[in-house]
Amino acid sequence: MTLWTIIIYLIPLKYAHWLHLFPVLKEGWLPILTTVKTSIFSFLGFEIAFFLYPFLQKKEKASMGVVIANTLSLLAFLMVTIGAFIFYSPDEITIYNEPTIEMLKVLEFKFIERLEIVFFSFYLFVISTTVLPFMFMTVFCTSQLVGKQDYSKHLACFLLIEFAVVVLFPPSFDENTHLQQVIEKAGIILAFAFPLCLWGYVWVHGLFKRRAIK
Amino acid sequence: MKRMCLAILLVFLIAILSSCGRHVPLEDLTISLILGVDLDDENNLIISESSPVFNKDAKKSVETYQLKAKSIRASRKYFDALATGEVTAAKIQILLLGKRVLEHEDWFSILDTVYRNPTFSINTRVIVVDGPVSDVIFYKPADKPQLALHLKEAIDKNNGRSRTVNNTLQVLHRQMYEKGLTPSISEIKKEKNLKFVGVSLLNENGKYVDSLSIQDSSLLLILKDEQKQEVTFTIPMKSLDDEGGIFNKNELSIDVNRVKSKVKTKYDQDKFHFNYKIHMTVTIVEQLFPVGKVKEKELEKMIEKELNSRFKVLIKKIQENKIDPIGLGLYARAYQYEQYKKVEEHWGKALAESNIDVSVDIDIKSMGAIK
Repeated sequence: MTLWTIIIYLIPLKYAHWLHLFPVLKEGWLPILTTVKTSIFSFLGFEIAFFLYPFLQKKEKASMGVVIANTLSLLAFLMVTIGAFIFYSPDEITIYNEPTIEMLKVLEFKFIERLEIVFFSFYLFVISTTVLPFMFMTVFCTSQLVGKQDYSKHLACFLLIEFAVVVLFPPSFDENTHLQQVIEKAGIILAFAFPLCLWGYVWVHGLFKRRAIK
Repeated sequence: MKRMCLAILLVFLIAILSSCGRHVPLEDLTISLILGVDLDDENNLIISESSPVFNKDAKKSVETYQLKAKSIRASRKYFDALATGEVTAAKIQILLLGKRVLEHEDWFSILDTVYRNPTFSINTRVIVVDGPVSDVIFYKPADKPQLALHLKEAIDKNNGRSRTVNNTLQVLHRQMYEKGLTPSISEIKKEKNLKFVGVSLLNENGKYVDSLSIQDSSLLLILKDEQKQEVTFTIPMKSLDDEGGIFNKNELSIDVNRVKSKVKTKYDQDKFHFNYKIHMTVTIVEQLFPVGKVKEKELEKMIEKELNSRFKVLIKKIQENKIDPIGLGLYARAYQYEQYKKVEEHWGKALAESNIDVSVDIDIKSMGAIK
């Protein structure tokens, strides 16, 4: 589903300046490593496998699925990022709030102008795939907590609450960014620190149990 | 299944019907196609706009207004007061900048709304007007389509023939912010007719410094490696020692089929060295001097010599003005980043001190249909 968006990103490449990509490691590795924190958010979601694992029928293929899914999204992000890097000069790209969206404004055909407006309405569906798994997991987990299999009621409640929040307190751009940063941190903890702790717990638990048996 | 169909139908209906809420008939809009920014004699900002009229009763098909305003956005309320419909900026095709504006530094901030407001189109062509903008925007020739269409077609066509840069708002933004590059914008002049005169060159701060003729613009495009499918030069063969007479007997026109240029970047003895190697495959399309006067090999040498000297003049002009419309700063950054970073803020000055060599290599592919 996201594939066609990438094809659209190929069109502005006629304005590309490949020289912008050089030198490859401008300031060394440090600035690259510091941005990992921000980019990791887009790759989160694989930790859902952690929760879904008990329900899987072919458990041995789970890790493979996670790797394939993340590789696909990696390729998509890589293309869009490189596209933006060669489209914008390194001095100007920092000025834009959303350079990857802004660069689609140059799209223009003989039969349609301002194509980006049409594009964005469809892009909503594409971007929704980032949110949908999280939404699903939320209602899935709450219904599991209550002990019910059917999560449709929870979903309805959740959507209603979300709708009410957005209508009553419409978030500004800054608040959105802030929220994203909070979720990023929470996501990193959930995806990397939490399994480690859990593993530690299981290990310690096992240690004590064995001792008790002795 | 039935519920599924209903759901899909609902989604479609919501998607389609949502546009019915705020519809605006075309007749109620005043769609600006040209926006002009200029300064008057007392340095007051003058904004002008021109838009087509969709009404049978109107005698004229275009309405054009010009007024004083503090900024582009502020001008909209005055335009709204004058025009029939709501003035909208979404379809602006041409942005005319008066040369008086460009003679001041830091004029670029006036265009802020164009980039900040997402309704503005970013593909608007930017053109510099040598003289007052009002002369151009109120110009209504009887033998031309509407001015906006005429200007857009003219600039695109001249760009297609590699005679002028195609400078949209997007490109201008890049050129203004990129440190290793200075802006170059197409320039028009209103004399008896409206015509393209070449390319204006701005410095790092956006101040106007110099202009290039149409012929030199082609050379600039070749140096930028942005030439389009057709590049033509008409050059006099000075070494023929022929005055030419009334029929310009020493003229030669070439059609450049292929350009392959390579730039080598070096940093040596505290300055940058750029070494251009341009290989052109050309076809001779016009030769006014008699056949057999010069051999093909000599002809190649002569064209090379002529083009080399022209490139030299152009580069001298660029270096004297401490500007870089070619974008050699990009090469410097890509290949000599350590050194470039030191002079990044004053790249024009560094380029003026650097050494730019151009060597043209001509290969005549065909002499044409006749001998």
